[in-house]
Amino acid sequence: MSASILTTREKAQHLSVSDWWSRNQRKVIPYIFLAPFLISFLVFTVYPAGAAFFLSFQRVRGFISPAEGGGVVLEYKGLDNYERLLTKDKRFRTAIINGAEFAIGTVLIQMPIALGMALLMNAPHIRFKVLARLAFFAPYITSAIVVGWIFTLIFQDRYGLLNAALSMFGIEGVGWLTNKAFVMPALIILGLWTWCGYNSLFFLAGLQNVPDDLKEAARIDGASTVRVFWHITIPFLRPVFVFVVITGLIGSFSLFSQPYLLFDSGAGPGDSGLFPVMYLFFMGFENFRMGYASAIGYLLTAIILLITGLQLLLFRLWRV
Amino acid sequence: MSENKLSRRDFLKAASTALAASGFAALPVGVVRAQDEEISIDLWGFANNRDEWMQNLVDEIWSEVHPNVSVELSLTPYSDLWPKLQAAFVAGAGIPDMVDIEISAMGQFVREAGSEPYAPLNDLLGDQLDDLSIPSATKPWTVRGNIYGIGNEVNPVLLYYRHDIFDELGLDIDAPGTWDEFVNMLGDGAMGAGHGLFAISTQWWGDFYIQFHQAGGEFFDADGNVQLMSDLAVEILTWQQEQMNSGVYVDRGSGDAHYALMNEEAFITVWGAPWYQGFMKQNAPDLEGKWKMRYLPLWDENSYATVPRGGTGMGITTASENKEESWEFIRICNLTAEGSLLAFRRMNLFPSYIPVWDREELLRTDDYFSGQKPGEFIAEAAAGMAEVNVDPYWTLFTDSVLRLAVQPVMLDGADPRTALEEAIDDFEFNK
Repeated sequence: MSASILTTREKAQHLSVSDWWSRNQRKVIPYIFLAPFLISFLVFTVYPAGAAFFLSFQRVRGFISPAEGGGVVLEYKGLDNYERLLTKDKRFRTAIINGAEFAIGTVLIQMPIALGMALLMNAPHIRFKVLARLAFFAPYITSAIVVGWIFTLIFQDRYGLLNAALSMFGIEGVGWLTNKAFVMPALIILGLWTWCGYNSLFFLAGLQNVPDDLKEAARIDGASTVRVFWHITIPFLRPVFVFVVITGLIGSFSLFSQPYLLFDSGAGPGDSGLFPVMYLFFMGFENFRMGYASAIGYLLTAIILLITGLQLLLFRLWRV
Repeated sequence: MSENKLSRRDFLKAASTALAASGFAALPVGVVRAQDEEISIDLWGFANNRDEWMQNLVDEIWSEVHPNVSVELSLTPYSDLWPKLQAAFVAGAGIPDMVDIEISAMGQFVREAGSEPYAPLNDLLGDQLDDLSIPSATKPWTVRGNIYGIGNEVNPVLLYYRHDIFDELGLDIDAPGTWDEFVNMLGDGAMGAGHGLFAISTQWWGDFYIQFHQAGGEFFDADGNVQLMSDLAVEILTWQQEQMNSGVYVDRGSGDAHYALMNEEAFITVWGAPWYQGFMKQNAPDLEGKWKMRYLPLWDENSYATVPRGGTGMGITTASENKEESWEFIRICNLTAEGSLLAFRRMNLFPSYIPVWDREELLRTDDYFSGQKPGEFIAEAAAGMAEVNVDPYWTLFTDSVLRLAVQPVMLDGADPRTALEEAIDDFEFNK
């Protein structure tokens, strides 16, 4: 028995690194290739997310001197931040309502427009399709700073292009950025301009995946163009609708750059241009309420997850 | 023995060194002596004009006096600077020696006593404090008695008016002594000719604060207690609302729109600190020779002649390992004739360093303001300027005032008293 153990030990001692490598390299190599991403993901995503979760139960009181290691002075507040957000904070409620209004406004108006643009681009006799796709995609890749600046000029009440255009039809201009009744319409116009073309490309890709033989069979069976579109094309576009609605929703609640620039680093009259991520930024980086800002972030994530889950459920029901 | 003797050559060498050193010491800008050790200090700022001024100062003055101390000036866009600075403070690493602290970005970093990331400058300033215009140079950066920044410009609000239009209308702009007289004597005449008399912002809390502060009101007392809820605040906000509703006041617009309105003569008087003069020249150059300035009308015998508006102060971080050198840089920038006059030349900002106020170059005539001498107005107004009590929660407070008092009152006709109460409630809730 002891001789047998010795033999095993000796074998283990002689097991060289190269032997180990030749045995395990197929298992290890994928992790080596993944390591750069995994390390950066852990450091820049998982750790901050964990730290923010921890912070969401604290109140930041001040800074600790670098001589003492740096950092912030924390006071444990339990669930106070969440309770306050859910039950007392009117601004957070306003930001969520604005996000929801923007989501409904943009997504509901955007989808038919984007689908219409995609149908046009997919039509066999339309020319300059590549140019059209490029033009439709351009607003999406244009810097938010530039977009914000351009739309500031467009929406300016006295000298803006939009009011000038309206006046040509005898319509009196309005304060798009100064009258809180018109702030949301202005933001929705900006949203449509930015995302319609982008989403039309997804619809175009979806349209190109609708099997021609199905449509042809339906036509042979006497289905009109409208019925073919309604009963074949639209159901095939279901995944695109899901994608557009969910990304639109997330984008709406995460809106930051455009309103921040339009309202000159503010939130518009009466907070009419305030969105949840903007509120998070104001609280965390302008008012140094990092704990509260972290709680806003987590609550926002929970709200988006909840709404997304409901949407997925609805789309699943649609399939049935 | 001969080795201990001082040769003539050695004597001349030593004498010339001593002479150079004494001449060096005679320079008003040389306190930290040139050392063998190479030191680098850095400053984070956000303003191009200040960056240019400091770079010029480094090239023309600093490098001559302190060749071993290099100054790295880092420019970051305004809205990005504070999150970046905050991240550095939280990390406890990568913190600059000095920061250009804009007045509105002061409070959030000094909320809790004992954990301020800026070093108090009181002891370093010492008696030199007497050389500065306190309301502009130190008060906006003073919290709990500690001075955390030195501002280089005097910034009293003055009233600018279109003298050509007033002459044409036969209105005497110098006649009104009070704000009531200002609107009663000039309002109808201006409106009759299609002009607003005065431009006021509905998108900024400051235009309310200027008149409230001038009348003797304050947002906070020295102990940090909110002072906004008063009959005076209600009176001022109501008065502004009435002027807006009657058309005597017009919305001044923001950004390019403000200057478009100015060029279009939508308003014929406007107020601003001296730095605003530079923006007027830049954005409405065709109006050169059509503007003049005067002191603000008063509210009553108790009101201040004017109030300070805006400003940026240089501060030292507690993390700096080169506080002495950093202070020397701040001192040369703000507490020497060379530094402050260079600032005037580069930025056209009237220095807060009082000993140079009688310099001829500061009192030059300005063609944009029809041959007036802005320096004379600024220096005289500075003497009657109110001081501001800055609170660590200042930004949070002004945000509430704008959202829940100024905007609802000026844009939606809300009741001023109710609006002010809501603003204070909101502030207390968020504090």
